[in-house]
Amino acid sequence: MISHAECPPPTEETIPAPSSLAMGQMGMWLFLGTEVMFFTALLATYLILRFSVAGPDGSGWPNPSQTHMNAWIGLGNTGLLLLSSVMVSLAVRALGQGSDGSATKALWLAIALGAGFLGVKAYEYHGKYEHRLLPGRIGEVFPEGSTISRRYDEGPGLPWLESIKPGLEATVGHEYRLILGKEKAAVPANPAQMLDSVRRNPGKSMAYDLLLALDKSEATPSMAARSVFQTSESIRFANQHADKEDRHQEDDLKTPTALPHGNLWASCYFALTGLHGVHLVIGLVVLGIPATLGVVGRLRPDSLPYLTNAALYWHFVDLVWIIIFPLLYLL
Amino acid sequence: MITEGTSTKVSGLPGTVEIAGAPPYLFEWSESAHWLPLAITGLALIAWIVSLRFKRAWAALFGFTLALMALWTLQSARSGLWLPESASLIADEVDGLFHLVMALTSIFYLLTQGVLIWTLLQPAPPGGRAARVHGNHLLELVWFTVPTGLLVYIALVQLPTWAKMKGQVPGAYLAAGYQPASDPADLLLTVTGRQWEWRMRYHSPDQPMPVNPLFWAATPAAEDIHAVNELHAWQGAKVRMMLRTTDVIHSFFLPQFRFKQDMLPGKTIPALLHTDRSNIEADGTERVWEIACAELCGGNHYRMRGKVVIHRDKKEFMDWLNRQKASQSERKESAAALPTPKPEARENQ
Amino acid sequence: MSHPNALHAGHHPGFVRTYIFSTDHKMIGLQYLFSSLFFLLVGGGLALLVRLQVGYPNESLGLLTRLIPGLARHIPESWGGRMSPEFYTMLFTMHASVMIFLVIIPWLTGAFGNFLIPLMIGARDMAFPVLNMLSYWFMWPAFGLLMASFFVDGGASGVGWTAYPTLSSAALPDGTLASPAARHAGLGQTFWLCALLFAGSSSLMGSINYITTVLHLRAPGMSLLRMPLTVWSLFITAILQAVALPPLTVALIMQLSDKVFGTVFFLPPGGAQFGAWSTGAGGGQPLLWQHLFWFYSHPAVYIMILPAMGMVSDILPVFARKPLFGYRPMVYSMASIAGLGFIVWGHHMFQSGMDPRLGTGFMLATILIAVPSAVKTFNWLATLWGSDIRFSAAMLNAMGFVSMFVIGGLSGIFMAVTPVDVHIHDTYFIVGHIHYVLFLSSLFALYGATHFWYPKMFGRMMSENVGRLHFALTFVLANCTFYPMHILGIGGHPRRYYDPTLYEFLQPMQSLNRFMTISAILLGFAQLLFLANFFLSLFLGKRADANPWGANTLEWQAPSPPPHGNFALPPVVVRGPYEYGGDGPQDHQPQTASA
Repeated sequence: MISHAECPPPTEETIPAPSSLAMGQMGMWLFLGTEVMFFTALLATYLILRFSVAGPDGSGWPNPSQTHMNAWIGLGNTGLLLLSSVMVSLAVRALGQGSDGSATKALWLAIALGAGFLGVKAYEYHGKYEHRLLPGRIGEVFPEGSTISRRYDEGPGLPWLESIKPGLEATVGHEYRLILGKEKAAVPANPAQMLDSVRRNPGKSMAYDLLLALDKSEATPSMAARSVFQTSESIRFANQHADKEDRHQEDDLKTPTALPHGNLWASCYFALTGLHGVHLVIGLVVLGIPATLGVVGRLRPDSLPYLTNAALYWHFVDLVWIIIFPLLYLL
Repeated sequence: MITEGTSTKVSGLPGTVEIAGAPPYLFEWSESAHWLPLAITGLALIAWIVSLRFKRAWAALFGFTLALMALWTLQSARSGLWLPESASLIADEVDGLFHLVMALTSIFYLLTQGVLIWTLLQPAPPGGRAARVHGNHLLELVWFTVPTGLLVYIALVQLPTWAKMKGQVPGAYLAAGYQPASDPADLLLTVTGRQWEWRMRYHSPDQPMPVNPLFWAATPAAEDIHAVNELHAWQGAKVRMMLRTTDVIHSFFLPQFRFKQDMLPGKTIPALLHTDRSNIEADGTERVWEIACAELCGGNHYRMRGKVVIHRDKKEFMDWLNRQKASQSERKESAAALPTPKPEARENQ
Repeated sequence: MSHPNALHAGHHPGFVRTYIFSTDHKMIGLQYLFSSLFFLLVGGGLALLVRLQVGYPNESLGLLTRLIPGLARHIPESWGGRMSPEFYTMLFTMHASVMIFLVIIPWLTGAFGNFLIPLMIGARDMAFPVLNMLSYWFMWPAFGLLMASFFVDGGASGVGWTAYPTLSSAALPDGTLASPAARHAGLGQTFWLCALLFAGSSSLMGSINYITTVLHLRAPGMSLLRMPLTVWSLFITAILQAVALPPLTVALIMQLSDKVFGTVFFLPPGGAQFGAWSTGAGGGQPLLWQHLFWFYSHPAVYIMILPAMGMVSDILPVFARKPLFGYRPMVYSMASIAGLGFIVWGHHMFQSGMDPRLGTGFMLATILIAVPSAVKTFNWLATLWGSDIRFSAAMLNAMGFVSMFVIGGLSGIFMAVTPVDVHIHDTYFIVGHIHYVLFLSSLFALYGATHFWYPKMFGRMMSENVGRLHFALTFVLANCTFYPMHILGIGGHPRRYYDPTLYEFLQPMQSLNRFMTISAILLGFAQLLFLANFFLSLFLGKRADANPWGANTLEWQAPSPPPHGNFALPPVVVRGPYEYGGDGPQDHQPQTASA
């Protein structure tokens, strides 16, 4: 028989009286537990998507130089966050010792460092925007002649083909029309010579060929994406060695980017950094409250449980970045 | 279009499997659909009224519901509202598993309901007080181990069938993954789902069977024969189907073959169908076997109806295929005579 | 309804703080209860429309358009008074979404979780009362968005409550609110995703609150293994939610951004084409959604059944006047259901194109999860064995649960047998199974629990005779509505079909479909009995004393309804919750020492 009917009544000390501090901390830890699940799912999604894209054409995941990811910027940002975590710890310690003045200072420093992180992130986002590395707006490079590539040409790639036209036009439109005699030149020029000069610039040469193919209705999205991708790769390669070989730097392409798995990369990049950024903004608000209280001189030691929890959260956001950084910038 | 057809067909019950010597049905669904729920409601009301005076009437309510279910199940099995006609050996195996589980679960169900109804009828405990029993280790152990044993048996007994269904050698199954087994198929085709039809592309039997069916599925050839919403094969053929979709997830469902497989955008999923029976009668009439979509694919999900024709032999199948081929090349020629149409402008701006 | 604060002298926080933005766990529980009852009506109405269409696919529903304003838009004259197939998909999608996210989960964990946890463990309130209030008010954006989605351009989501991409997510690269995949996967689906995000946040707040409350605020002597099983089940459910919800949140955010920003998480390489429409280039995996979705939604099934099991385990001993049989096995089996519940999600995906070897693993876990369910059933039956049953409405509903959960559990074994699942997957067999678990099990437990705790909530009794009549009718009619679904499924009747008569092999089943439709309508009307009983008893019910059922658990030691702060003196617990029967002076021994 299982019997648990009559147990001796417990003494008071077996059940400690609940304290709101302990409960608050527990609630925070539980919340962070759910956050761990959140970022686990997010990072798992990223890793699954990333490691399942070994393309049949051998094209793997975009490498950092293709996506203009600068590991130094990421590292700098990691430093900023780490420093701000230190500041928050100092603030908690200072408040614990009753020194609300130095706690306030430390808090504002932490907030400034966090805001600095966001500033750097904004700079990075701006770079992605400049390079048109935006999800859904990148030309995809699929294996030549494959069904995926054919499907891409029949519809999904057409908006991208549309979107590169202004860039092509800006790169070589004028020369293109002059060479083909579609436009009368003010100063008579030799078309052959002009074509020769276009051919010497890889970007212009590619744009010229694409414009020609577009005019003949021969350009397909996959063809255009391949030539944009290959040209940008060769420009990138040439520019890497330009200084050594004493050549001038080639101009970057003015068209939107084409990149194998580029859209998936951009989706993951923006989801990971964006959701982390949202957490960071919330953290800034959470830290901003005691910091503001400190400025008006109302930060009291009884805010310590709140500040401890806020610090926990801040450290967690910091930790998440420490995991995201190598996965996104270095891997 | 169907309104008139429905009522006549329903009472006719096409596909009914008559069991010799079975007693006549207690009721006919088609005729009882409207009054039966009311009658059952009436019985429930009576049970409630009686229970106001005799509380043991609640046992009758539980017993009545149990009887109703048993009756329905037997009635349905008898009147052909049961597993569809089986068209392959694997379908027979699946049916065997189904009936095994049916038997085991029925025993458990009757057991638990029997105990429940008994507890409603049992005499009051002596003195009106039940014994203060908190549990029993032995009993717990028994009703932990017996279900576990049975369930493990069910888990193991199904493994070979699952492996075979996925076109794999049962022994090598765990190592083999999703690659189709190497045994040669007699017929190769792709089935491409799209909103809302099935597009079949048959590999021309004049050509040698491709080494890599996945590659063939991705590269249509001029010799391929196309059909819409019709799956043809012959009795005894091993059919390798490469399932694809161009838009959303569809699920290719062949009830007679106990076959169902989702089509996943961006993937080609190989599947094997071993046909063992034909649906062409000796007099040339055809029993209708249908294809249905089993995964919601938009508003007209219910309209993805196709049909399966399993010819009696390969010759009949080849006749159909050649006819199909001939009409296809005719269409091609007439299409070639027309000026090439410009690619349609995209509807979205 | 009597004033819940009436007994607490000197504390009058005003109308808004008492009834609307209340931080009192009992009021929040009641708020959940009332909104769940409202959405039960909404969800039930949607279900009846679905059944009408399946039962009578070719007949005019013109009459309904005159009865229900706004319906005429979806049942146009030009269709001969029939609804459009798109409207039909919208109906069953919203029926499931409303019932799962706005009725069953809030009713079980929101209403009863809030009302019962502090009372049953002897606490004055939840650990975080303000968070508790927030968790209720986070439901309102979800309510509002789901209801509003019916009226937006394109109508509510019509892609099934599982919202599988690419049907649900297909969008042009720059995002669009009119999806090429399905007319109702545009703005309506976007609203649906946002509503679920809100409902999820609400559940997360609730679960953090419940876990902390149970771990920190138990009365002296209330050791974990003296907690009533209701508390155990809600505690385990809270853990399930805390672990399973965040991945769903990630999935919802990704689908939302696929639709709005043009990301490609669930869009395959090369995109998807819909006639002349096509999506962006793609690059992701549609199957990923299914994994993330079922990683939440399978545990969600246990979230919807575990609290029901707990409450039934508390109701049975009270009316059997006999201790619960096997308290510890019950706790362990609930914990193992929760644990195993995390590794069985793939059994929804045997046909999805997932590697069949994975299918085998998920099959084994799924088969094993039937064991703790069986153990629970046998323990309930053993509790009833040799007892003197009192046939109250609460008891009948609890016994209805025990009886019907067996069917829901056993029909699950068919699906765990992978080769059989190939045939019955996505047929009416599944629909029957899920309704045996969610309607005939969870809802019976909820009806029973509502009857049982009603006196504690409102200080009045519900009518027993009406309650029993409601049970009798619901029990047989629900079986008439849902049992034949198994038979349809065995025959291969796919679910979510607007007009099954198109198929020759489904035509013989049409009369069965009609039978179910008529039963469902009668069933729907029978539920009005419950609602009438519930609302009329608020005013007309017999006054209840503190412990009308002679129950042991702590909530019955507080006045009915309990005042703000629940207990005049903090209770001290000296024994387990199920000391009924035996030869003592009383046939029950309450958990507190004083009695």
